[in-house]
Order: sequence, then C-alpha cells, then structure tokens
Amino acid sequence: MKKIKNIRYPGKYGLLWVIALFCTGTIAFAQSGSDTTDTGMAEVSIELKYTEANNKTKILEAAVKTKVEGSWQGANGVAVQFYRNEAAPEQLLGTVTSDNNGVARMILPEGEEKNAGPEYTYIAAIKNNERFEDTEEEITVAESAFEMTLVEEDSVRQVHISLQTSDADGQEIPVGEVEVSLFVKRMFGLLPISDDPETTDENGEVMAEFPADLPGDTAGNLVIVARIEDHERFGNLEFSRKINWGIPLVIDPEKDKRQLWSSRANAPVYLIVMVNSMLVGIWGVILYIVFQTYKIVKLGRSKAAADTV
Amino acid sequence: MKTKAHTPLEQKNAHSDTISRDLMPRPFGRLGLIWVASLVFICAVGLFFYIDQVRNGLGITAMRDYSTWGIYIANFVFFVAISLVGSLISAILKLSGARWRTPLTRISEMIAVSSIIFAAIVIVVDMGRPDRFLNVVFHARIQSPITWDVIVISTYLVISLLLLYLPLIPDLALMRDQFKGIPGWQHKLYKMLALGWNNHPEQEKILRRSERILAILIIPVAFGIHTVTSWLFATTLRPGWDSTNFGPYFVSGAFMVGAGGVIAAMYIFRTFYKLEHYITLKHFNYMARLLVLLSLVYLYFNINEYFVPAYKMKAQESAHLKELFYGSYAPLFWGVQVFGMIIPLIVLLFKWGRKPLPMFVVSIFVIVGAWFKRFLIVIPTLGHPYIPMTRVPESWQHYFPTFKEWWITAATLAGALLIVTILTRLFPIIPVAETIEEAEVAEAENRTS
Repeated sequence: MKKIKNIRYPGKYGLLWVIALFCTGTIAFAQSGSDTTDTGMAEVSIELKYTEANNKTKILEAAVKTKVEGSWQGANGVAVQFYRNEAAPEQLLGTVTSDNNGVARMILPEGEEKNAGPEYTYIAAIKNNERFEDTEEEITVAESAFEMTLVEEDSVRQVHISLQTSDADGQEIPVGEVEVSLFVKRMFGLLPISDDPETTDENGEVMAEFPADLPGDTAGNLVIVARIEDHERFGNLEFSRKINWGIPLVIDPEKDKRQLWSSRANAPVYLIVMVNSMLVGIWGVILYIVFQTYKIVKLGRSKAAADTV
Repeated sequence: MKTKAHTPLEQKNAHSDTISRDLMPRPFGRLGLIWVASLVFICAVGLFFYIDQVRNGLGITAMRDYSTWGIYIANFVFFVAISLVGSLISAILKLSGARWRTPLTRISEMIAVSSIIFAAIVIVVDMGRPDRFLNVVFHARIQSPITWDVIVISTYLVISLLLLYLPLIPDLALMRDQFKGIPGWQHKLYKMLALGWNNHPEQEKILRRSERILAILIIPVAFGIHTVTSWLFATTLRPGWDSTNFGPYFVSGAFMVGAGGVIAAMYIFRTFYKLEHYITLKHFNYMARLLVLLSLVYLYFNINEYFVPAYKMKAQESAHLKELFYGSYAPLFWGVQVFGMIIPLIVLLFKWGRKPLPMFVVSIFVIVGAWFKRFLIVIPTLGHPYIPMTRVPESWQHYFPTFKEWWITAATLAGALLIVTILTRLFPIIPVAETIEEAEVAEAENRTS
C-alpha cells in the first residue's frame, strides 16, 4: 500500500564533499545537527498516516524524522507538501510546516475526495529543502463507512459497529476480519473497554457489551470511541459518540476543602498560620538586628561629634 | 604569639600591634594568584557550558525522564550540608562556652556564606528554564517542601551574612584606622562597613547582644534548612527516600562535613598565612574530638538508614539496596562508608592522627566522601521507580553525568572557594579585635595568678 520514493542526489563529487566536510570539522557538523549523507544533505524520512473520524474529518499526518547522532529524531520547521494522486503542482492540497515533534498535520477540506473512486492516494513530499534531501511518501486508502450505534435493551448496553467499503460501481460491501478496539475517553487518554480488540464478522459487524460500572461526568456522560488502527486498506478510522451510560460523578465537597494536596488557594489554615508565624518571628528578629546596626551607626556619629567639640 | 617584657601598658600595645600585623589581610603571593586564576578559569569555562545549557536545554546533561535529578541536586545538598558549619562553630560552640573556637569562627562563617550562596545558585542551574524560578516566588504553594526550602535557604543566608558581618565590625574599624597603603576603594569599603565603630561601650553592648541573639536564632534555622532539604526527598514515595530517619540523618551528616571543611580550611590558612600561633595544635585536637563525636552520630544514623530496610528487604526497596550493597554502585557506596567515615574515625582516635597534616588528609576524605554520599542519596533511587521503566531508550535507564555537567558542578565548587578566597583577601581570617581582647584577658589572668 505504501510506496516510498526517495529521490537522492549523490552528486558527482561525493568524495570531495566528504573531504570538505571533514576539513570543516565539527563546525559544519554542529550547525546542521543532523547526520549527513554523501550528498552533504541530511537524511530524512516521512511516515504518512491517514485518519478519518466519524466519516467526516479526514487528517493527513506526516512525521518527519532525521538522523541525529545515529538515531531518528523528529525534525521541526520542515515544509511538507501534501498532494492528491500525484506530486504535481495542480494536485497540491497544501503545505504545512512540521511542529516541534516533527509532525506536519493537515485536515483535508470537506468533500475533497468525492467522486474519486473506491481508492484514493495521498502524497507527502519534502522538496527543495535547504537541509534535507528530497523525499516523498504516499499512502493509498480505500473508501469506507465506519459507523457505531449504541443500543440499550433490557438494561443491557451494547455497542454495534459496522464497517463497509464500496466497489468500483459504488456498491457497498461489508468488510470482515478487521480488528476494532473500543475505548472510553478519560481525562488523560483512552481507556480500553476490553483486553483484546473485537473482530468484524462476514457482515462487517461487531456487537460488544458495554460495562455498566464506568464513572462518567456529573451527568453520567461518557464518550465511547471505536477505532481501527493502522489498517492496510483504510488507515486509521475512528468513530466516537457521547452517551449517558456512565455513573454520574458525585463531587466530594471534602476535596474542595483545605488540604495538603489542594491548590495554593486552599492551603490548610494551620499550615498558613504555622509557616507565617515562623516567618514573622524569625524575620522580626532579623529586622531587629538590622535596626541594632543602625543604632551602632548613630552612636558612632554622636561620639565623633563629641570628639570634634 | 611573640611578646616583649615591658610595662603592662607597653606590653598591651605590643600585643595589639603583633596580633594586628599577623592577622590583617595580605595581598596574594604567587601561589595565591595561581590559585585565584585557576578558580576563575574553572568558573569561566563552567559559565560557558552553563550558557550552552540555557540555550540548548537540559539535554546537554545526562538527566532524562527517570533521572530527573543528577549531580546538580547532589551538589546542592552538599552545599547546604557544609553551610551548617557556621551554626556549629559560631552558635553551638559559642553558646556552650567553648572559648577556643575564636580563631575558627570567621573561617566557618565564610565557608557557610559562600556555600549557601552557591546552594541557591545550583538550584537555578538545575532548572532548564531559570526564568521560571520566579514562579516559585509568585505562585508558591505553602504546602510544598520546595517552597519551604526556598524560604529557609534565603533566611539562613541572611542570618549567616549577619553572623559573618557583625563580629567583623570592630575589625573593619581597626583596618579603617590602622591599615595603611591600601587602595582608596578598599579604605572606603572598610569605612562604610565599619558603621562608625569607635569602641563606644554602648556599641559593644549592642554588638554582643546582637551576636548572641543571632547565635540562638541560627540553630533552629540551621536544623530547619537541612531538615527541609531532606524532606524534599523523604516526602516522596521512593525506595531509599521514603524514610522517617532522613531529617536527623541529613543534619548529622551536615555537621560532620562542616567540621571536615573547617579542619581543611584551618590547615590551609595556618600553613599559607603562617598562623601557627593562632591556630594551634590545641585547636586541631579539639576539632578532631568534635569530628569523632559527629562521625559517631552520623554512623549511628547510617546504620539506621541502611540496616533496618536491609533487614526487611521489602520488594520495592530490594533492587535499590542490592544495587548499593553489591551492585553497580557498591564500590562507591563502600568507598564512601569506609574512607568518608570509618577511616577518619579510626585515625582520629590516635594522638598522631590529631596532628595537623593527618587531620587535613582525613578532612579531605570526609569532604570528598560527603560529596559522593549525596550522589548516592540522590541518584540510585531514581533508577528504581515503583512503576517499571518502559518504552525508553536503554541509555535513559542509567545516569552518568556528562562532561559539561561535571564541569558546571566543578565551577560551582570553584565559585564557592573563590568567594572564600576573596573574603580572606579583604578581611581578617581570624577575628583581630576578639583575639586581642582574649590575649589581654589571658595576660591579666596570668598576672593575677
């Protein structure tokens, strides 16, 4: 599915380049920060990912990496061009600069791929960059319809997932044997619902029971997420829905009280009193001593004045 | 001390003149200049590497996700520890009536001030974004031991400065009045700092009272500074740090290294400034006894700190303890225990061991041992988190400081020594006025007897 095209420019005078680099020593090396190839340009790679959320938002994500001291690290500030079908100017979707982690992320315009057929290809390319060799990577993904419905019958909560694709005539075909993972959104990440992913049957469907003991927000709301990750035909597909299947969260008023682990505004009163009493006591004495030195100065002046008289 | 047989008044003046001449600060000789140049060089290169760290971040160090504290923090704990010497000599010995401490008070206060200044600097050096130190001031959480540490360090610094400065005032007046042939700025400095001192009885009364108050005040603050520093570790749930013993363990270790620091300084100043009449064998003998006592106390806390967890060998602690006892840190661990504590203890029990040179060697053992002891307290624990290390490069699972880290650390140590050196160039190492007064009292007592 993925085809990587690395366009290299080894150069006629590769050896001379190496010698020149050697002579310029660590200065040139330190300036680039990356390991260089025989062309004098830094080696670079692109990992291209396609993600589709709720059959609506489509994201292309290019992770740009370069070799620094022998290990691959994200390269920031690199302009990555995204194309559709081929890396030609008329097919350019846009240019995005990689962030601090070396990731360039582009949200595709809505309806961009309509009438493109059952499969479509995207290309991420680095071209004419001062630091890096020209590099391309492409990804081909198939048209898909990934849906999740949530059903509650006789107090049993079930998640129903279906995955379909379409053939050349636009006919929908169920896709079986695809692993689907189920999660619930938590504050810092996704909580897996089961140890192993579910697998779609011949109808492209999955039916999974949803646990009844998960805490939700104050209204009992949970965000359920179904995911297909790194699929060779569809890339990453995600469907999420909010539903009040959680146990409503009861906020413990004790937590708002003054505790050691509370915010600075809610520090325990005894601690504030204790620390400030010590501070006032000790710094009061220090100020008293400083005042005493002022008295020494005053006595010195009066003695000097008396001696003069 | 050299004395001449004359009338009591002449004898008194002769005493004063000799003492003043012997103890007034002197310009650096060739060795002194080489010493200062070496310290400046180490500091300058360290500053260069530190600028590199500010520009490129803590990535230039070996600290990573797990070893978030490295030798900077070990060095910080060492500086806090050695700074406690000020309170030991100037306060505890003063209040206990040990009059022999007089020649050692200023040396110990100079060490205390320079160490605590660099303890504060090292904390900023340990920050990837030094500007964020202000967040500790503006957004401090009173519940956090880090906030307590910032408060107590600044308080201790101010008290130590006052304890250095107040006994210096009569000496500053002496230098203002008697020190000839010095640059104008130096004379102005003495005049300004002398606060118009002219031996007025009322001035002396105020000064003595203030010194006594400070001597009392600094003791709880000194205990506080190192106890709070120990709490930075002990209030976290980590093998090796999760201990109720940490406060006294740190304080006793600090007094021990502080005493070691004073002995080393005593030997160096005595030798290079020819102060044999002032820092005598008696002082070395007393300091040796004090060091033995402090070593025994520290040994007791060490046994508590390691024996009890080793006896229980809880699963979470065992990896850490085994690493120390017979793992990769074992040579350092046993080296520190033997050379930094046991050998000094044994040597100082013998009379020949309480002579200046053996004591100097022993004090170097104690100081170096104490530095590596802080290394062993801070670093191995971080290599054994409760949640196993996963998905990190192999190199992140160990910590060994980078060359730049070593140099920056060496620069802070050199900086502290440089402060002490500059202070000794500008001010008397031994309190002049107090020494004259004590000599007069002793003379009077001799005459009476």
